[in-house]
Amino acid sequence: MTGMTGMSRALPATSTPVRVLALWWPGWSLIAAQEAAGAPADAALAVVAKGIVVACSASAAAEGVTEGLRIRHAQARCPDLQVLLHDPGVEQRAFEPVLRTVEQRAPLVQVIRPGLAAVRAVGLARFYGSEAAAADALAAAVQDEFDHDLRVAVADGLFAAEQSAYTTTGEVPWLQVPPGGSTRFLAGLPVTVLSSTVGDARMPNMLRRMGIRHLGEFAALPRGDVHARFGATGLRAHQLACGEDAPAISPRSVPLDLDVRIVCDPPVGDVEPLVAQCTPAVDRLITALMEHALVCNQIRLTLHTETGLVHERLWRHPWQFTGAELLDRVRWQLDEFSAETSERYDAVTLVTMAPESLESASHHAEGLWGDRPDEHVVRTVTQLQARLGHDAVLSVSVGGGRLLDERRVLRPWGEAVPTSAQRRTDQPWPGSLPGPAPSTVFAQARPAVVLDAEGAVVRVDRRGGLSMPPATLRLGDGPARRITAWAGPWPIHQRWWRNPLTVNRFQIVDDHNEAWLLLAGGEQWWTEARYD
Amino acid sequence: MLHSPSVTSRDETVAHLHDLLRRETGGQKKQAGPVRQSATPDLSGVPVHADLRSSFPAGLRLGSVYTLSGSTTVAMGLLAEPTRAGSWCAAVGLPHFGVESAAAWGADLSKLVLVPHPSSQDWVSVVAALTEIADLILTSRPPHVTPGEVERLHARLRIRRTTMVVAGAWPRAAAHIEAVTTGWDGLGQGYGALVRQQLQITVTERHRQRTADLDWPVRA
Repeated sequence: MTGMTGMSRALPATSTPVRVLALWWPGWSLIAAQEAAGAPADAALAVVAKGIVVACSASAAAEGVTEGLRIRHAQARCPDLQVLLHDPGVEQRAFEPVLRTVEQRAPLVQVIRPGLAAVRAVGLARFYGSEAAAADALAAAVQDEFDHDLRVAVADGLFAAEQSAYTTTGEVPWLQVPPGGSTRFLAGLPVTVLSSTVGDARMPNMLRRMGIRHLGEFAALPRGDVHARFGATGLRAHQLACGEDAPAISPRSVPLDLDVRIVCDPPVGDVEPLVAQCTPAVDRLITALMEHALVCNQIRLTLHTETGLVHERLWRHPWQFTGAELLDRVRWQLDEFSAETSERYDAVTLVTMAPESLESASHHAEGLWGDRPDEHVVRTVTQLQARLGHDAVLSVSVGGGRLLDERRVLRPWGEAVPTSAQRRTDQPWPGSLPGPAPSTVFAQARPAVVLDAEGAVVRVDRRGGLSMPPATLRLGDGPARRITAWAGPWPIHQRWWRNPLTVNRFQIVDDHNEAWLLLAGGEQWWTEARYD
Repeated sequence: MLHSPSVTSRDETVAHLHDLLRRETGGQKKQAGPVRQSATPDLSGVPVHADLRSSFPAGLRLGSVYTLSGSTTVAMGLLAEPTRAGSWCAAVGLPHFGVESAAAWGADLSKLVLVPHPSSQDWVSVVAALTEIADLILTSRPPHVTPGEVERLHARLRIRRTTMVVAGAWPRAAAHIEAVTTGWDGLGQGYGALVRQQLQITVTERHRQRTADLDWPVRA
């Protein structure tokens, strides 16, 4: 909120400020806190920040509670006082639906703080006929939905409109300061109203001690002197007091709602009909992204089924999703889901897509010598992937790990390759092998049999010692190979705290001049990789 | 010619244009869209790693099929140079692809696409699709391919100027690479570790044989 206020204050002040219609909900922090706490409206309530009462309900005020009291004093005056903590986030959240209602009637709303909003009055007055009619229409629309006390005021400039809204009463909730009359209106206000606007309470105090009680007297001072005495704050305050204000308001940027919900009625159990149902919504999503010049490279897909199961997955993309790629993700997720549940006829009732990590497209504009693959390459490989399945087409990199299969990082094409820190390549991996890397690494180690010269299985103890030197190697059902050279052990002790793996590695060369990397534990032997 | 004002005579201009053409055809990326039908002969093939250049002095022929028997290490070495030069390469039907070995040859892994388990019906179409992007496709031979499919694939490879290296037998291969491991250095009876592989690479092409020895990794 302070950022927004600061932004509006940063606009230069001119002698012809824009006509502003201010909407003020008195005691918003109390309303918000009361709604959040679910307290009854007629209870004695006080909103407290840093031990000081900042707002209190009418029944508490009747007992003598006022703003600025300490909690203990307030509780002494009103023993059944219910204390609510001041929370700007709660106020903002409670204000959001009200703002949306206002935005339906009047676009480009500036939020000065929760409970106080402003819109430009010129366009509204033209549309509704007059400023009074516009204020009536807005107040009626808002009070239809939210039964809170609402004050409306129109004046030249944000400051004057805000101050005129504060002067309204419950009986007369509407005030119009005629065009050009703001200076005269402000002249009658005390100088203390400046403190919240310029954010400095010392200056109004100083002015009062100098005998300057009203804004009119302050405005009559020469501006140069005020500037010299009070600096930029004083200059700004003097401009406001003279009825000068920003020529525009800075409306809030409404966050985009790009989430897509596709309701399947009747429920759909098969992939292709589901994809067909999703197609128009996905096309709309992609068009909306393009219109806002955004790029989406993470999307959360959720499938809800008839039996109440929910399958959620976050899909990532190294560059950005296109429509066809999103539909592929739907297809794969449904495949994955039906593979997991094995209930073939569990039909999908609802698909939601929530784009996460939206970025401006200009950040993703391709460089002159683009660092992403050619459009043509991406399209061809993606088409291939759409045909064969998500994890049938892979991109590769080298990662960290003790077992060789862990060290090759295979990722489905189109998923971001993990960074080198995620792959942990820079960490030391005790037990890694010297020499050339084997060119054939088995995804799953294959069982093997290693025999000594007398035909007995070679045993490896816990410390990696062999019962006898190995002499023969047999892989699966293959013929026996004579071992011509061998070395080891290279011990692997992995995750002793969970699923411990303790094996020993051996390198073996057989009489066919093939070299093998074997894993051994006890009498069990496996081939992990082949050097060839 | 604006950037090279020194080229004046006609011969030099022709030589310069030839050079440009060579860079264009031997070079970086495949052209999307319509296929360029070049009337000129292949000026250079797929580049090969410096350590394999004694076996392939002119590189691998563009648009041809090579068969490879014996060492997979040599196949990894063939991938290294084209990926480093910016071309895309693919490995089809090689589920036990040793990524680290390829990296040791200096291959740029970000230019590599892996299709580890294509079904035997899909194999031809996968390779055909990858010819669109890849300059070199490394593959194992599928269980059965009909002569018609072989014919169509050959035509496709020729048009897209993609080279295919098949581990195993292949009808009508342009050349056969036989890489035999002749020995290993560094391993004894219960001591040492593998440090070097001794290979003998024989390339048979149109009744001509070229044999070279390779120690990998190369002795410093």
